[in-house]
Amino acid sequence: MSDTPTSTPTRRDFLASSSRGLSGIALASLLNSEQLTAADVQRIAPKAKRVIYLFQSGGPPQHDLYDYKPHLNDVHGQEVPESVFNGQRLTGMTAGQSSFPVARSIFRFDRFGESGQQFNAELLPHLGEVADDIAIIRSMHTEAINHDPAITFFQTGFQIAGRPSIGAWLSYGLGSENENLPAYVAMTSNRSGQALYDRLWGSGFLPSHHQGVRFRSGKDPVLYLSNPDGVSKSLRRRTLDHLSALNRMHLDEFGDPEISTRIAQYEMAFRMQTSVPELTDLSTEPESTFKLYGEDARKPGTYAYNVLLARRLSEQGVRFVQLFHRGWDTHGGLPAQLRARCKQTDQASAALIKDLKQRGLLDETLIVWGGEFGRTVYCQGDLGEKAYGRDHHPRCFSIWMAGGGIKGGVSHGQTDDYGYNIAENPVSVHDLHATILYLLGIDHERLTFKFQGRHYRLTDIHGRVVPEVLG
Amino acid sequence: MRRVNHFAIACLLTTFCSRASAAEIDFNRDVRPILSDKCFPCHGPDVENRDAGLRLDTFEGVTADLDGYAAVVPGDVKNSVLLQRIDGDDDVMPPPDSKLTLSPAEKDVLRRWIAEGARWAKHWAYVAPQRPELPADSTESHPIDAFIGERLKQSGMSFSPEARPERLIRRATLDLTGLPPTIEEVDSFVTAYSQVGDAAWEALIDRLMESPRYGETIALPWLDAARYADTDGYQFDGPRYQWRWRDWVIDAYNSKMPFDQFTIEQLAGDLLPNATLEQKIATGFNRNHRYNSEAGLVVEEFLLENAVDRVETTGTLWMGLTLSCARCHDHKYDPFTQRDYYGMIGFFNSVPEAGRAIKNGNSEPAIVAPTREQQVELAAREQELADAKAALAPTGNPQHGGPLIDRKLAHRYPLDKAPEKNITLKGNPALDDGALVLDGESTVEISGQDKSLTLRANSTFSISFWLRPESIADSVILSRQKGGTTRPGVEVALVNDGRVQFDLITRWVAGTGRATTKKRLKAGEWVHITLTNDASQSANGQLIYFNGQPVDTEVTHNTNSNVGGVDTKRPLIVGGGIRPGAKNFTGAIRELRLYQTALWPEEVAVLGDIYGSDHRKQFSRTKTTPEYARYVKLREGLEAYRRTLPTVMVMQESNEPKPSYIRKRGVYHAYGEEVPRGTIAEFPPMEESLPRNRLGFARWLVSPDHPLTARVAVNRYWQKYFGTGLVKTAEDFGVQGDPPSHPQLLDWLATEFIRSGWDVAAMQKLIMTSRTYRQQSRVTPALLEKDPGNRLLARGPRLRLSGHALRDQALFVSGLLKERIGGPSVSPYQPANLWAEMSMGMKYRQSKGDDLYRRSLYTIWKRTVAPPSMAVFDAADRESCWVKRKQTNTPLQALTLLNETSFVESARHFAVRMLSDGRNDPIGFGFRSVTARSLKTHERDVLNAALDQYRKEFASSPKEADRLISTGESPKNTEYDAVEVAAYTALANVLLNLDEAITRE
Repeated sequence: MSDTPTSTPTRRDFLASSSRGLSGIALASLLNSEQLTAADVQRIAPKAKRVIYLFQSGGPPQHDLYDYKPHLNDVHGQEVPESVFNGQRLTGMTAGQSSFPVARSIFRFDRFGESGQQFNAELLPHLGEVADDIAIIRSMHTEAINHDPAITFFQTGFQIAGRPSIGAWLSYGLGSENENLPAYVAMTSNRSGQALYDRLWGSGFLPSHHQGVRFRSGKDPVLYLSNPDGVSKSLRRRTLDHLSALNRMHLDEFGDPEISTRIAQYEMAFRMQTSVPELTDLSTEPESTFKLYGEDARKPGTYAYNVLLARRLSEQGVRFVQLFHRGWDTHGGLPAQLRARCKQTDQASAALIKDLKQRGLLDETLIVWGGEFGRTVYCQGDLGEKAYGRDHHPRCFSIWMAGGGIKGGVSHGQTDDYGYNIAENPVSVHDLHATILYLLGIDHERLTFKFQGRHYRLTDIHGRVVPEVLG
Repeated sequence: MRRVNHFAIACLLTTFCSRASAAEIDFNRDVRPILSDKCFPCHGPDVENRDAGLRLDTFEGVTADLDGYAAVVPGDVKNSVLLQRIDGDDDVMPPPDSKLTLSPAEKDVLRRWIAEGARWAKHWAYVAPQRPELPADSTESHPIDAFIGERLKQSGMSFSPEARPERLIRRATLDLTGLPPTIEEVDSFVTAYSQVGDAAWEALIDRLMESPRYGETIALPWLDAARYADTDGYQFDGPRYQWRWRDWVIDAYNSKMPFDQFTIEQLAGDLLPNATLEQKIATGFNRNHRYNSEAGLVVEEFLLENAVDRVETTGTLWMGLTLSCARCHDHKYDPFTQRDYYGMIGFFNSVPEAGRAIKNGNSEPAIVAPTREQQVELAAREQELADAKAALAPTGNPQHGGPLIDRKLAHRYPLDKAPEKNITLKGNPALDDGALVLDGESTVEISGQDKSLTLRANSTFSISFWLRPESIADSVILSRQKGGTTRPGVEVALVNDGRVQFDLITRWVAGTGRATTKKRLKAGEWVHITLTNDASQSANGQLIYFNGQPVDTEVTHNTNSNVGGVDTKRPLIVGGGIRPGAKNFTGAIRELRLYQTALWPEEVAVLGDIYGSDHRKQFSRTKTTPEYARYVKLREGLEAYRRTLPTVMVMQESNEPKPSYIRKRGVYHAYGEEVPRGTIAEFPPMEESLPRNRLGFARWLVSPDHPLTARVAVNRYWQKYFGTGLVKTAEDFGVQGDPPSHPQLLDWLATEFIRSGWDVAAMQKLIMTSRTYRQQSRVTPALLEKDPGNRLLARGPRLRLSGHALRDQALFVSGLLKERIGGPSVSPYQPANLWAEMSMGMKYRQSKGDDLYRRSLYTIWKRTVAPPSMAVFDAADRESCWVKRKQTNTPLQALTLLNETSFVESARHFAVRMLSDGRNDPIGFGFRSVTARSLKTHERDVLNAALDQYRKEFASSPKEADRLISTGESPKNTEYDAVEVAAYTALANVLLNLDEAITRE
């Protein structure tokens, strides 16, 4: 691990600093313990500048996507042996089942690229085209068995709500590259499926301006972005000029630097009213873009649209863009549900890698694809010839990473013949977090915030960088 | 232990004073923070993780003889190994892998501390406050000012001049009522203040505290801390109804309830002798936590999480302690053990709760909690029913009317003769002795039941039949279920040598209500069985009767969070079911009846009377007397009325106290030893006379010798007025927390609070009557340089208003605000689909009419998608206890204030008020309405010019003017020219966005 100190990049914040006009000493004391400088945290040469995290909410089934288990064909329909279960807990949904038959995957698997990465050939053809760019980790594991604790764990490093999300940590640690845009943007797609919550991109106990800003589809990508009906842009400009003039008079009298912050805050809002619609206006994209991402990318609110928007936001310097695509919770009727999800996501996910590559941005953009847990090898509900379901499974599951600092074509970690337990190289959620931070040049043990007397970290008291996936 | 209360020496605020320059080392102020932050993680209170057997959190520990040497030898710098190690090259402490380092200044402090004799003291916050003397030479008459003034003097600073009277009244009015003063109120105060001074100020405070708005306003931080919300949280985040508790809080503040009573009623109101409805409602406090309804959850885990939240919220809110650290191991910094922690869990885990929340509605234990008006109607209805019942007397005589056995009867299957329609025989059921006889193979399937007879956990129904088991071996008596592994529906079975088991299933096993009789049936004997369900979705509402009499049951599953899955078209199977491996029933059954109601006990009594007996015959008729018909109508009416009444989740004690066990590493199923209920060993113990339950615990919290309760409470009040508490870390008074900026003032206020009988209102008034509070908030470069965080209070603070206050202010000055205390939460404007995009089908139904304009306190709070116009202004998220004030600035806030519907609609109504109420000087009127002060000439010039420009713009685009003044659902003003209203609306929008308007100065 190299520990080369890097030059301190200029840190910018989405908010105007509330300390404008203060002398150095006063500033230092005001910011005491509440603000970090990049020099505090970035002690490793960063490989990536930005992250696009493609979160697949609900728990994608690893047996049917990335973790091929030929043995299951032999034992299909048989009870999972007790030696495999090994006394581990089940969810309340299947704990009452009287039978736990193995369900093989009905999908065809194949090898792709020079590296020979192996995954579902029927549903992930586009990913196959970039197989040499991705590193698959098949030995992810988590502690949580239900959606809320599991997704909360992935987002905050802790199962119980209240801690800052990973994007908020990065905003706090690194700031934004673009002061007119938030450091952390979240987007959601697919209205059916497991619920999502504002706190997944929340700031927890960090100052609230580090929270992710949700970009929505439709007229107001950012809440309340548009002027009210009847207020033109020129009128808005005038009202802000008058507001600013009056606030300046007040500043002269009261001298509170907060007032200059306020003035800047309104100007920034005005600039966002122009910059955000420009960003979300895809009409400037050439036809080739939609060939690459798919026709869905024209439709606001789809996964493909969000991926394209993520590329545009990332290009503009948004530090952490996170998409949440719902509907991977395949308890029953798995094949049909999985087909639908992959149809919505495969092309766009692969397109992002290709697109960043052709723009020369892949090296500095880290892409992560994954859900909050995996799924069981045994069937939930009734095992049919073409229909089956899988329950939540925290013991092992697969994710992939690509781009900045990642060694493409690698596969890391292995599970047992049933895809139920990890056979080698386990990677915990904290390890994944430590690795993401490392790629951004951050020692995960140094990114801390003191709250309730404790120096909190995203990785709690755990976390180990996974060197095997690093380029 | 020596008391340490002499912090006031020299420099305290270590952020901008060098510790090294202090004249004398003070252990609590200078030394403990270093030891705690840098050494306690490995050498602190946590036994399990203590390295080298060395502990540095006690004097005995630091000076302990470790094979001939000691970490600290008081007065002996040379032989104190601690100093060698922190300076050493090899084995340096703290070790590099801890990522902790000591600065040269910190090392110097440790060296000087040891050189000066290594004096030790208990952590200041763990010693009960003693009332300090007021500073002797102070000329200030107000105690607060005496303490604040003394510190200022020591720092070479002094108070700022008093704020101008119009700013004072705006400050006080916003602080106590959450709204700005009216122009009339400003004028009248300014006059009175110039005439009678302090008396006018006190009169103002008294007037504001008499307003019901006072309770609404001061309740808000309490609701944040109490994680009050209108949904359950977690992934499904379904609706719950706790507003009766919210209204209790408002009422408690408005009735000036003392803080000790406020504490006791919320923590243990149900345990008070002859607890009133209000006292029970108060305990909703400890049910405000999130509650998971996810199907896959493990009940045991969430029973622990619920108790954990209660302990941690109580710890933070009353004691300023970070108890959560002791969940997994002994606390790393503070002297609390894991044993202490689970001892406290014992007070809060013994609740008759299911562990899985109801998806739509309140989870048990919940009580019917009528409002005062509803209580009046309820009492009247109950009286009417009692009168009607009396008219039936003497009861038991059918000539006077009496129980019917056919009320709400949906189906009757006598099963005493050959099958009729809708009945399918499987196997060879026989008819014998007027009953259906089953041989353990055969079953009878009956289809075609009334669809309204859903047999769901949230519907009322009864099933009754006569039964004579041939054998009492496990078997299914009857069932109506959908197939598959989840088996939704109803199943009645014989289990465990003749016990009757009544299952209501939505999804086996995650959604199951199971009640099983303790009594056993006997083979070969006829028994009449009735099962009733009260629609509560609780297995405790599944009752079983034998021969007309209720029998005791045991509830082993109680997780019917939702009610889906049940298929009403499935046939009722008599004598069998679909459970894998279950046997069919052997024996006789007759007179099967299905009802759409939960039968009343007296009806079941008749139904279960000996078959064919005279008594039963007398009552089993379909005709009734007019008296009895009236009684039934009233009773059913009362039942229906009760279902419309609000409920509230409350605390109750389980019949059998649930034990508490240490959980290793905090994991719910890693059981350690059982621990008795108890408090923190380090603190004064609970008095012997106090009961070992929540009530005893609450009384212990408010006992006068408790070191923290009063300090923590007054610190939060201080924070409300000054932005920062005297202890900056309002959530942490432990050794890792910030030391108080004015320790003597904190203790004086705490002791005064107790002395006053925990008088909350008096404490607010005490603070507000100080000179400290009344200072102007002007900032000079010199002040900023010396004290940027304003901890010494040489000036008044400027605090940005909360999202709640900002919206309320806009509604108020526009005249739109509709004031009504309490009631169900309301749903004002919100961007479309905000909930739909995130949640699982829960739809936002925007309110109509007045409810669009209620105070923001009443806005519905969905935890996972909080109201955006409040969340963006740093509101607490209501996920867990939050006691600190956050204040950040983002452009999203500006966009909200400029463009959100409520604010724009307010602006257009404010515009009309300027034109009407302020017709002599609309601009001046508008400006004063939001700032309380008069316009200065140069400000007026800007606004005049602005108005001219807006007029011109709208004059050239009247359509736009019309669109702007139609924003929101309230009618458009037609009295004034549209262009004029639009221009003033734009102007009002500017006024409502002025820094001065959105700041409490």
